[in-house]
Amino acid sequence: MEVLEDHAGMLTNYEVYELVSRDRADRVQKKQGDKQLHNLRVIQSQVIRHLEARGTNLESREFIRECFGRLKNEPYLLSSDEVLHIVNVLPKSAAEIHLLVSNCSERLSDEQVEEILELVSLQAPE
Amino acid sequence: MFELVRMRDAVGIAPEFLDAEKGAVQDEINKKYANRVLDGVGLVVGLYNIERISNGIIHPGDGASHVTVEFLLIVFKPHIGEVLCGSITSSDGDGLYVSLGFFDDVQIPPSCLPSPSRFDEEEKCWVWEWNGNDMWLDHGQEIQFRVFSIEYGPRDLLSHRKPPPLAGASESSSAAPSTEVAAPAHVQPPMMITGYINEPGLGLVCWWR
Repeated sequence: MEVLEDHAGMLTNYEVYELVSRDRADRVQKKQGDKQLHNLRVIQSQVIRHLEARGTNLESREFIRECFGRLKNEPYLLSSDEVLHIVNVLPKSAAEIHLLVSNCSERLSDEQVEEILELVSLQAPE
Repeated sequence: MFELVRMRDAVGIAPEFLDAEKGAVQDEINKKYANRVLDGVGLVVGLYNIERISNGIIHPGDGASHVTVEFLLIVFKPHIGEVLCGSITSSDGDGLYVSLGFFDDVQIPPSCLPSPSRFDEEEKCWVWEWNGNDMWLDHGQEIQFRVFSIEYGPRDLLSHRKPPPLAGASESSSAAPSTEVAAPAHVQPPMMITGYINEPGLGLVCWWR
């Protein structure tokens, strides 16, 4: 057993949710009941439950793309790490945005903070 | 919170699975790694994909084919400073204990609670004294914290998420402790996150939303 590369790629919570849900659904459909895969089933259902409680299941690929597209550019100019953190945490208050963006008060105005909150609020369309 | 980690390992495929090799390799990797802590790396959620499988070697007397596989694992691997959310499971004088469901070993020591805070012995709960108000850190509440540090216990390269009880340790808390072997109340988990909540935006989710 050998770890070749510790940081081979970052994943958003949404990507993990999508991957794990799809794999679990495939296994249920194929009725794969191998007892030795018990550990896999346990962690899959626990991860899904955690992410659903956080609202990750309400996200979508378009949402992730839009967040990265908008927040990395003018006027917000957030780093990839900051956008990743935001789409994982899904902040609902200005105080949380300040947690996730370093030197927030210098880089973002109050209106821009509100705009970001609006973007990640995942309001269901009317 | 989650990252990909590239690994190389040797996998044995039993003869009956040789015609569906890739599926058998995927299952063997998941059986070995899923829900286990990779020392110094993190908690493995499962296989992401297989990148390379070498040609199989069959050893004399063993019908299985042994292949070397390079693959990517999905690993729970939070960064220092990352904001995570879980629920409070218990509290004692040493702090709060938080679980994310798939990961249970998060501790927030008293020095990492908002100040001033006190431990209420009766309710067995921490309380933050804010502007004359008592903000209770109740069990079951959702709490947002920042990762302060991650420690890996003295274990093998790959460990069960929950260490097995020590020999002689009692399962039920009401049994009298053995006089010969004093089993510690908490066996050190293979991966332990220390968190802090003494920053605006952290603490109980209901405080800010």
